[in-house]
Amino acid sequence: MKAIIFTSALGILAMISEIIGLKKIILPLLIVGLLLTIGVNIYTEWNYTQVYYGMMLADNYYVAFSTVLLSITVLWLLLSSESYLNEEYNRGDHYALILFSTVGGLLLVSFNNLATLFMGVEILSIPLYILAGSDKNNKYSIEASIKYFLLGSFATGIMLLGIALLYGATGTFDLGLIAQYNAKNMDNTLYYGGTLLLTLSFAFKVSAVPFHFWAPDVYTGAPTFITAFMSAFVKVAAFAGFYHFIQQAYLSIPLPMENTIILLSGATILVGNIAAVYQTDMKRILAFSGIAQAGYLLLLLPIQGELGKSSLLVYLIAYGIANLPAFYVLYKVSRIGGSTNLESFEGLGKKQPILALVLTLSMISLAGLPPAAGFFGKFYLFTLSINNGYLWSVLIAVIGSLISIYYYFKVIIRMYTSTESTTGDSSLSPSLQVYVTLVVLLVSILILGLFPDILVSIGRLL
Amino acid sequence: MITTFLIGFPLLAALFVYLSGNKLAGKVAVIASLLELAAGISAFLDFNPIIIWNFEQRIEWISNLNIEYYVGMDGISLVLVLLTVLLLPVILITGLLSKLKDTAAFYSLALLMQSALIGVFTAKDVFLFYIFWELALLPIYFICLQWGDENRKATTFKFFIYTLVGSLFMLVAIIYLYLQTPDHSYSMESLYSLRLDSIDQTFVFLAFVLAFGIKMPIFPLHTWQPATYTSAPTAGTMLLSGIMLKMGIYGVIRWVIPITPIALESYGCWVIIAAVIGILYSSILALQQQNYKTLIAYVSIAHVGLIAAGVFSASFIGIQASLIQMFAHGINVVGIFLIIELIVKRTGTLELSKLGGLRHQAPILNVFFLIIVMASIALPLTNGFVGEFMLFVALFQYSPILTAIAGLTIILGAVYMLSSFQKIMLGDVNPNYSHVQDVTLGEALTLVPLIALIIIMGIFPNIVLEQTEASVEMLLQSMQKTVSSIN
Repeated sequence: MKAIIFTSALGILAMISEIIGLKKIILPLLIVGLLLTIGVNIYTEWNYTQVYYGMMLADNYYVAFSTVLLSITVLWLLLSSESYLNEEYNRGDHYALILFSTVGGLLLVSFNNLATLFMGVEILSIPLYILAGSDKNNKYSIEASIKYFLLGSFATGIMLLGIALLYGATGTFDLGLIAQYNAKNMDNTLYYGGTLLLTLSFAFKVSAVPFHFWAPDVYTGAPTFITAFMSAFVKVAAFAGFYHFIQQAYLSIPLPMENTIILLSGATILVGNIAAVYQTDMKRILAFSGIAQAGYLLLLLPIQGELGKSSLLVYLIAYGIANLPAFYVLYKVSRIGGSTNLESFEGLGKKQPILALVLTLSMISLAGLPPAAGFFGKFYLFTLSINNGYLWSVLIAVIGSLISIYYYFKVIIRMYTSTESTTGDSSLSPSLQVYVTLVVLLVSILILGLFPDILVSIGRLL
Repeated sequence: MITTFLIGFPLLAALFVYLSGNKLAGKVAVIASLLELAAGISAFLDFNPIIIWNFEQRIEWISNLNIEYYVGMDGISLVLVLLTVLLLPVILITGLLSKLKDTAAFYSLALLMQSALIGVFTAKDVFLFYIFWELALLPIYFICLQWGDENRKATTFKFFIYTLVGSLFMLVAIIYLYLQTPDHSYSMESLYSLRLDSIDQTFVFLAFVLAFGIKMPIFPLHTWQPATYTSAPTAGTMLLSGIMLKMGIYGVIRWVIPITPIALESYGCWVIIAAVIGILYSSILALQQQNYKTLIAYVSIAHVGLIAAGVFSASFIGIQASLIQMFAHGINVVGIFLIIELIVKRTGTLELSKLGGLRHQAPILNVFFLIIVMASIALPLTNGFVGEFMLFVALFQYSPILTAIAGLTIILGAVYMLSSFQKIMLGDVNPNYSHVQDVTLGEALTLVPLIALIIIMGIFPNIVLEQTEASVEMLLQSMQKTVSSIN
């Protein structure tokens, strides 16, 4: 609760920063504010489960995932600072929208009432519809914005209908009461209709196949850092929210829902990975890679209990910390090369060894190879899924991972095998704060990959 | 402790080498690898073959999943660790000779690889084994990618995808085995005491053999190998052929034989048949090769095929033979690639049709080359002989017909090795190479230890066999226990 209030207040501060003359120091202010929020949030809410007015459930799950979400926002603010210094954006407004979106994410991991869920989804999405179109002079950005808005509102509409059906069946919006109803009456068409519609609208938010068509276009059209935010923050928030919903609304996941999710997972893994192979634009590759990663994560949703939660936490953190630096490198390369085509990465290993190293490690982590965090995330996920009886799904996931090696390593090959001899290009050097952030991210990718035990233990307390 | 030191020291050295900059990197790396060699030799001297597992260390690592940092060396591990620490200085010096660019990165990758390889050979926790297995792949991938010839993009990519296909299915098998163990553990003891039924064993066997078979490589999984060996820089090819392919054979000995003996009994014959086909096939292809490096790549498939056939026969003599032959093959193949590097440096080509008559200008090189060629066609009193002889004995006990077919390789081996030697070194003086110089002192000093090992091991093969005897017996006992408790 405190985190939501603080973050909203910081958002408002960002919005009026230009009027009250704080424009210059708004970024450090926000970062300090968010870090304080994280601290206060952990200090006051950890191990202190509380329901606020029947609308919000602040348990350990909420504390862990709100920490992850707020950290992603902090990292995003740090990494994107260069782009906002260089380009003609209204920084204050952008930061305000990002923070409001963060609030939406926080609601998504804590809702105890379907009304809160709906609010969370809307607060998360509406700022992003605007931000996707914030590159005003670029028609692709406008296209991305409109596409995202239209399809997103359509998905929200489906979610509302689902909520209405659930209300019709159970007579309540409260997740606890729905769970009680679920325990007593297992065969109600209205109820399953609502469940299915909610599942589908979540599938849209996490860009699962066949609801993924918006993702590549929106990711490509939107300004690079907005794409980074969508791909890291929104995916984490949507998955944590989806998991939270299943966990709170059902004592055990209904079989039709489990089958739907497993089916979606297989399709998402295959389509996401195969489509990514044919892309030549790095942004689209990352978009499809995001879709494929969603496929692996879907496997976790039916696995309730402490192990499922810890695996979700590990995987989402690994995904977030690999994705953000990749987008940063993408931004830098597109600044110099003018495009995000794979050709622009040619010879980056010589021009900017540090950026190339960052991208290499991110790709290795996303591909799921040791010693990066992504490996342990995938390994843990596969272990739980096999234990849960999804051996065939895991085999599909393994085939998907193999395909993914192709496109993740395509860019690595480009970076390290340039034919022309180029020397260091200092115009690509990151600024000091970004440099430090990148080093922190790289080290945490390795630490999390080699010593994931603490995180797993935390996950088991949720 | 010494095991951890052997794994950790190259890792630290890699960092140090990278920081020491391009000028010093080579020397620092060679010194580090020599220190590592000293540590390896001291481990060898302290080693007690009777108690099987020496120098064990067991620390909790990811306790939530019961994953441990659990390492140790038995005779089987010791042989391969020794091979790794012996060969790395030679490989690094070859790197120095071939004048690579960006040497700091190259040497630190090579040292990283050494650390991972020793990890593979000493891990007693199968998860740890898998981590090292994958970690060994990344450095060699970047070595081939950055320092290979113009075909490197396609070939290294093929190599990388190929090996990952195997290892990802192996990962699934490992997770499956873990879930089957009663105490949910990855430790070697728990896996060895598993009693899987024959269907489960078959699937696990297939996954493991796919991973290990690609690494070795066994026919028909070998198609990545000749191209990769040809396009990789020579030091990279040495790492691949001298040490890395032993990972596959080691994996079979360590995990397949004790865990899935029933499946091995049922399907092992098919692997042996494939290996024998591979021996014949690659020997015939080797006869046709014009590029000497590609030729050696095919020869390597033939040699490894024979070792694989010995291992899959799962007999005491077969495994013993494979261990001594792995050691010998590592030394011989690295020796040949070192000679190749010296020839390329002098003539700029490896096309057999363009070479010839080098003996006149480089008589000492000629002698070294001849000894290594003799060792690789298994002349008695060289290191290749004992292993090959024992392998044929093991294979004969398994199937005389297959032995007869595989035996053709003795003849073919002599043909392709000697005729290629003739094309390179013998014949009239080639006017193009009149300025070619003989080996320098530094080069000779690198070759002499290899030659010495070839001869010493040829005369005293027991140096290796003594160390491994008890461990192999133990392994086979464990396998017998599994078989008898299921039947």
